[in-house]
Amino acid sequence: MALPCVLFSSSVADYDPKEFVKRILNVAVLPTPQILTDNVESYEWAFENKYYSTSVHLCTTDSRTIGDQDFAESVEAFVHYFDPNQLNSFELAKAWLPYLKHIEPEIQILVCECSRYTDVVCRKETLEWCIQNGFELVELSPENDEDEDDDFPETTGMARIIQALNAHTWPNMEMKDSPPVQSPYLRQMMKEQHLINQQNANAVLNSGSETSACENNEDSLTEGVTCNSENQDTDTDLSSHDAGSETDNVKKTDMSSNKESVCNNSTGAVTGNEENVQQSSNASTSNKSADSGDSGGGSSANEQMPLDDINWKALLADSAQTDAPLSEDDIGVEEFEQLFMKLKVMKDKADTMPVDERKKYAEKVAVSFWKAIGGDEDEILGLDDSDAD
Amino acid sequence: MIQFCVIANKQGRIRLRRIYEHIEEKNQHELELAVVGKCLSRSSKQCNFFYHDHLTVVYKKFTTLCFICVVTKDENELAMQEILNVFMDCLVAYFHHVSELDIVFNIEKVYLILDEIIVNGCVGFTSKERVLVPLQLLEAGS
Repeated sequence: MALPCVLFSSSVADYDPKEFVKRILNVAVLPTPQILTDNVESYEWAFENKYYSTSVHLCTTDSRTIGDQDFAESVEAFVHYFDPNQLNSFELAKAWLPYLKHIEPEIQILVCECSRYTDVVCRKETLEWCIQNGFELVELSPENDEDEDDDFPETTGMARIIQALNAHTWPNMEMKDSPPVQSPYLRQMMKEQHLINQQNANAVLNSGSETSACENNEDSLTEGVTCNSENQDTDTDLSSHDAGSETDNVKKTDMSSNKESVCNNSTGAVTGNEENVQQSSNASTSNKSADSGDSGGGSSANEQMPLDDINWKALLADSAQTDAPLSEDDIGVEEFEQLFMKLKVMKDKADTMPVDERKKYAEKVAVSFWKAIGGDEDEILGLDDSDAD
Repeated sequence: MIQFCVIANKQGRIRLRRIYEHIEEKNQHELELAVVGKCLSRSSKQCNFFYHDHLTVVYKKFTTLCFICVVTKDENELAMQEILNVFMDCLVAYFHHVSELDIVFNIEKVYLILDEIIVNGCVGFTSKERVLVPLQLLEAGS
């Protein structure tokens, strides 16, 4: 059985500790008490709040006691009433301290009607004693000290005692499942966020179906362009590295192998890039959008862009050979876009040429690229002349 | 730097404690006892910060709770005061009518909030919305 106990006592003749019990139980007449040990009467109090429900014994005693050991161990809270205008009353309250050492209650409350600085036991003295001994001073009818611009007024009196009892973790409490903790403000915020997420998810689904329905040039083309501009660094690195390691004679075979590796590389980059874009535009994208991105990027890579892409790289490799320095920073997306359109044609033409002519042709292409990226005219002056010749 | 933060109730019982600068446990305990005692014994008309030994104590009373921040003297008292306000604001935003009961039974959430605001003894995030993000994520997931 051994419910946890709250022990009430009083050191004022005309204040019966049963008053506490009456007011906590909110009854006019107390039921017949249960006698726990000598001089200790108890009343059961079942209460609940949003976190737990429990029941405890509200015990009253008229004399200082620790009862028996069981009782002493079961006391979780101690509430004592005193009168600050009777020195004797305060002394009697102090006399509880050695007993409390044995009982060790978690909650200790000293109660009075009102503590003033003019009392026999001055408010300052009372407060100091309370703080030193881990008591809380609760006034049943406190004087209003007027600094009531406080947004969060303090609970006082009996309500505070009940509040303090509620804030204790009772050993026999039964926790409730998932109590509503968050404020309405936060719940509203989360609801809104949820709605936004849903809308985003819907939007993604819709847009995904649209692009797949009209998988036309426009889409894949813009995708290709953005991907190129983003992947320039890696691509040019790769090609210039290859160009440096290869000789003129083996260039042709190398170019074809280079072609493939670049092709793989760029398709990988396209899909990867695609996913990035999707994810950044919609934080809550599901697998669905990633899938649609994949297929879109894949189709564009296979159908349209990759050939141009490779040619461009091959040509860049050539241009590196012909000592036309490449300043990557200058490359503009729009200018390249136009060149890309022509590149397929150029490539087809170059394929039909013998090696020497192809080199010259590549030079031309390199020069046109050079101009497109706004390179210095002086540097390609000689090349232009030789071409004209 | 912020040495430690505690939330104490009116009986001087520590409800939350976060220590950022290690000192010996016994000394820490004594220091807390002294600081909490001083904070509780100060009236509402007194200044919300004071000096204790070589440290600055900034506190804020909130209904039955006392939020206390103990910092080195090179910190600005008003800034610390504001950090406590931010902390309280966040608690109020999250719990609405925050009480000792809420803190006792949601201590892990209170720590989550505090750990966004004060990181390793320094001020982290000060935006209420930002501070509550981890909790929102956590709850959105559950």
